[in-house]
Amino acid sequence: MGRILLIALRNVFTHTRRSLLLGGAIAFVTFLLVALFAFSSGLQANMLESATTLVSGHVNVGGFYKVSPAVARPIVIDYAKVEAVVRATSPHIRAISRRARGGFDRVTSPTTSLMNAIAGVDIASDGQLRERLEILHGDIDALREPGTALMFARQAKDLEVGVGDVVSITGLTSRGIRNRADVRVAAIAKDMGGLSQILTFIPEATLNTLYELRPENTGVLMVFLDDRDLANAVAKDIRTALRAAGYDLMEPEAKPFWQKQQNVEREDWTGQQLDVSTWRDEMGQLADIVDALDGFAIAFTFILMLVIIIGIWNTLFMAVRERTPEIGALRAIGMSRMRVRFMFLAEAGTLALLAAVSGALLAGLLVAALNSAGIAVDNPQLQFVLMSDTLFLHIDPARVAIAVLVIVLFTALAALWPAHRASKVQPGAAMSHAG
Amino acid sequence: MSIVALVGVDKDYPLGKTTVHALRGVDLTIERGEFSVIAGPSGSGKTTLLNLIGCVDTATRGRVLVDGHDTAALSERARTKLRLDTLGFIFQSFNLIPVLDVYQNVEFPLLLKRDVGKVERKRRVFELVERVGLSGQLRQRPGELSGGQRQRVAIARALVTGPKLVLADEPTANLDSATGHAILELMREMNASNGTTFLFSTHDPQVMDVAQRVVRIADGRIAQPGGGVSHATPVAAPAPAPAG
Ligand SMILES: Nc1ncnc2c1ncn2[C@@H]1O[C@H](COP(=O)(O)OP(=O)(O)OP(=O)(O)O)[C@@H](O)[C@H]1O
Ligand SMILES: [Mg+2]
Repeated sequence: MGRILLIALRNVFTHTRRSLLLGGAIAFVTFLLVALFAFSSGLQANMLESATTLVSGHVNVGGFYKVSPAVARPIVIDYAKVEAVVRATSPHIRAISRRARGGFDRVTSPTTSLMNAIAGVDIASDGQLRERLEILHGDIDALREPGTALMFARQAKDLEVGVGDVVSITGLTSRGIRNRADVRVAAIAKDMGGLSQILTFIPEATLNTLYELRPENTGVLMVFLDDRDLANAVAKDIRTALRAAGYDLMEPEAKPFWQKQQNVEREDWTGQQLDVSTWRDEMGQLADIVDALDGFAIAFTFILMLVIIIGIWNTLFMAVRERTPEIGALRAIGMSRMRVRFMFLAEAGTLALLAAVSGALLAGLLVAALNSAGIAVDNPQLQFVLMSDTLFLHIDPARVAIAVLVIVLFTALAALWPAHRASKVQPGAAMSHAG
Repeated sequence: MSIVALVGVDKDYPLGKTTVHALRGVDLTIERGEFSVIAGPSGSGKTTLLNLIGCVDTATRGRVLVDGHDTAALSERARTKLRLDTLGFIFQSFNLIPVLDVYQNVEFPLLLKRDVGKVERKRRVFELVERVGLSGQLRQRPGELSGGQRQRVAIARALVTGPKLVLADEPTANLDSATGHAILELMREMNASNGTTFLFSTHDPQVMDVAQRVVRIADGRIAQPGGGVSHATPVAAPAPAPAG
């Protein structure tokens, strides 16, 4: 078998033009697939990064409180008790932060105004924000004082404010009263993709006053895990634990909480219902778009592979025709049909493997180069989609390995037919017949 | 027991609406250790005859016995095994594996056999390469060799498994007469020293001189020693064509 592999390998290198053509095509398809995967993985990573910094933990325990069937507030009543139950569910829980959830309300500067989602933080206990935000101006710790605000570069620019300037936020309470809070811009952070464009942080206490909320309640408990891939499993455990502790739970749904709020207000219940969601749920359709991108990459590759398969057939049938006397001779001297078949499969397989690996390597190089070049994205719409202000690509070695393997497998499958044809060559083909 | 016995063998090839009778009523016995040539003009049926003996093709009628096996009764797999274990082949156009060097080409049938150990393999390959006079070309590929050298490689490859019978279809047709003669001498030598049976074909009268026995064939019939060739008109007269 070793010698047959050697023959296959040498044949690949002997027919240079043919191998380069077909190998080039296979390498190109692999390159595209890996590059597209890197793009979608990068998006996914950005999305995770931005989601878990700004609006979500790996798992969230939020929910709604309804005084009357038509009015819902995103509130967890008496969060300390809920937090105690949650903390006991899994050893993988690294940290739990909380955020107060305001509304989507108007922020007004001396010159202009915009609509933003207002979130309340307890900066003293919220390690996540402190760690992950890049503060461009001011001091994030100034948010310990009530009456302050943290906003992002683009908002500050749109509002034409800097650190020390005062903006006012109007908040609509559940009783329908419009309150106003004047807050001083204490820190301006670097933009973090789409979410940061619509989010302003103020101290928890200030938010509670603005929306007339009690300090023992909060908007959401954000649970951070030591392994984000466990999010679904831990979410399930938390649901079970909360139910056992007597809490009413909402059905899991892959939507951000503000979309759920509209539905909840149409439902006929009052009191508290908790909602356990993962970061992916909170990203809603955006996560689906990233998945769709992967689907597109796979479909696209599939179509290109069809072209490759035709190339494989063309090349191998040509090889079988050219080498008919050689194959006949091998059959005559006692090589079995199975081995002839294996020889051609090996030839296609080695070519595909070499080509796919080089294509993947090239894509890896391109990704590394683009990442280190740090290509800036200025367009806000594009930033929103990319979830970042720089292009970020991420190579997942496991996915690359699977991509290479699948492509090699496809090629080998396509080679089955010509290899079978080769195994049908009669030993007599080695003889020179008259006529 | 003879190494080869053909009894009443016919071989027909369909050709359009007619049939070519490539062999008709062939009775032939080859004894072990013979060094025989099948001689006849182009289209007379030499290759067809060798193919039947070489288990490469099967007879339309009659029996072909090779080393005691009725080849028609063997499965494809068993025929392949018989070719590997019992027969050696030398082809007119050499048919070496172009991407392997001399050593690897000669070694190849031993790798197919699987039951020959590494040390033994090496010993046999070196011995045969030396005997065909190519020790200096071990690492060269067929493309770098002359026709005569290639046919020497082919002879070494055919003999490396220690076959009982070596079949060679016009082994010298692609060689100039001096080189061809040297190749025949080499085969004769192998026959004399190992007792390997050789059966080869040619339509070159000069080549026949080397043989111990000449089997004459014309129009698919063996001319009996002493008897004449019957001149019955073939059903479909084969067009005389040059070899190759
Ligand atoms: N596969 C085939 N299909 C049809 N006819 C064939 C086939 N092989 C051989 N023949 C015919 O059978 C006859 C004998 O052919 P064969 O090749 O055995 O002759 P040969 O003696 O080897 O000739 P040469 O000296 O030219 O090699 C010829 O008429 C040839 O055309
Ligand atoms: Mg012939």
